[in-house]
Amino acid sequence: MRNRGVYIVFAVILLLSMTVISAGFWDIFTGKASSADQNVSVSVVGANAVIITVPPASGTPNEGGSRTIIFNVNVTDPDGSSDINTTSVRYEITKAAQTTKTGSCPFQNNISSTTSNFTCTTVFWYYEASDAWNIRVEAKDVGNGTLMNGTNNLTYGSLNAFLMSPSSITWPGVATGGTNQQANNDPTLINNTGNYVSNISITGIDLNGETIQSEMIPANNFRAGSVFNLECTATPLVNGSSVVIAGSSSNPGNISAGGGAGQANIYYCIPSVPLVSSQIYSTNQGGSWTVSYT
Amino acid sequence: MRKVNLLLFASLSLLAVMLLGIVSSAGVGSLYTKDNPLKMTYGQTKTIDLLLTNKGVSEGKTFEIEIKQGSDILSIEKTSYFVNAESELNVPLTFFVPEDYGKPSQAIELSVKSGTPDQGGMVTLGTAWTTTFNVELSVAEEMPEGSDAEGGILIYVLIIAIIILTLIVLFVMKRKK
Repeated sequence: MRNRGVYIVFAVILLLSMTVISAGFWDIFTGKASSADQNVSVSVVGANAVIITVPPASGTPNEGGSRTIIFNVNVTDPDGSSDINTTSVRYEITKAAQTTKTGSCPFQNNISSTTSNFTCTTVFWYYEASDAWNIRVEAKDVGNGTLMNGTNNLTYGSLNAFLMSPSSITWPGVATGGTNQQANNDPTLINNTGNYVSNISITGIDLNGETIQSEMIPANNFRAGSVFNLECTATPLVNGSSVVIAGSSSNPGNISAGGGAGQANIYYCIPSVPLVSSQIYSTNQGGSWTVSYT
Repeated sequence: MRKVNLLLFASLSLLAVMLLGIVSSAGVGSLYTKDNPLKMTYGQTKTIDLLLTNKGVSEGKTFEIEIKQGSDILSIEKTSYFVNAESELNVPLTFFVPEDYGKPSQAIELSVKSGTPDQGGMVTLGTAWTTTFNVELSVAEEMPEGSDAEGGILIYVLIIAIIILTLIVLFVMKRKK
């Protein structure tokens, strides 16, 4: 009677345990092969197609140059990593109105019995558009041969950078009351060495006399524009405030390609020279004007 | 004497032309833009990089950073950074959004300036750069029901219950005996 009770208790425990403990554990005692062993032992080229895992990638432009962006992809074949066609892995990176990038992804190593790691390397130029690009990676296996795809996004950052020359503006000797006095060393050439898309802004500062400092030529006596010989009717500057130069553009592009890509010019004029003392006026006291992409 | 004056004039003219030809090249970069916001949850802290770049010149440059918008969730270790010639520098920007921060998003605007020495002309031109993006905020997702973690806990509870049940049965049987 007592033995029957013990048997019932053990039977209940055994039944409950079987529902919660992995079958693999009991396989140790039964000698039955586990599911993991079955995967390793596959030697027949597989009927299953590959599965491609592409992680998100990102990079920030390199001023005036190129940036290499590397991303790793995993290719899994349920039939075993030996069934993956290691020379079939290629990427394509696209974005509307941008040049598509393509390349191969060389095999790196096996990270498990069914998954291999591949490294994709691409190059982005400073002028290429920021934000999300689409990555598509393709690969196939030996047995099935079906070309499969994996996708994700590549985020390319924004770079607000430019190269400006010259860094000062000069006028020939101008007479008080004179009109339409154009600067004699413009334009200011602004090369966009990043991919920032915007207008060009200038913060003007009143010019003070270098001898009689209390006298000045106010900033709003100056105009700046992007078209030569129209600068005297272009955008008037404002003392201490950033003003967008009408018609200007940061114009991102491949500067090396020529034809004005990636470049902008700014011309300056004093439409009406105020009635001030004859002396040199400059930004030495009030501080420099500031050029920026808005 | 006339020759000396002529030479001096020529030298000064050349120097003036060289000074006017000095170029200014630098910039500010970020992974996040108006179209690619930084996504965070309330109560979260996150650090991202602001790229300062100083290329195409032979001298180092000091950048002054000012937070124009978003200073209530954004902090920066220093406001002044020196970047060597032909170099880049990643400046960490740390964001902390309090749990009770009321807004669903926050605009971030950073203004970066670099000092410009007097260039010898009437008007000296300096440069400035801005970077703007939004921080989009959401409530942190709670762990869904039946998740792996909960499942693991249930298994442990079940095993402990079985052991306790076994001990109780054995104890009762021993008492009967």
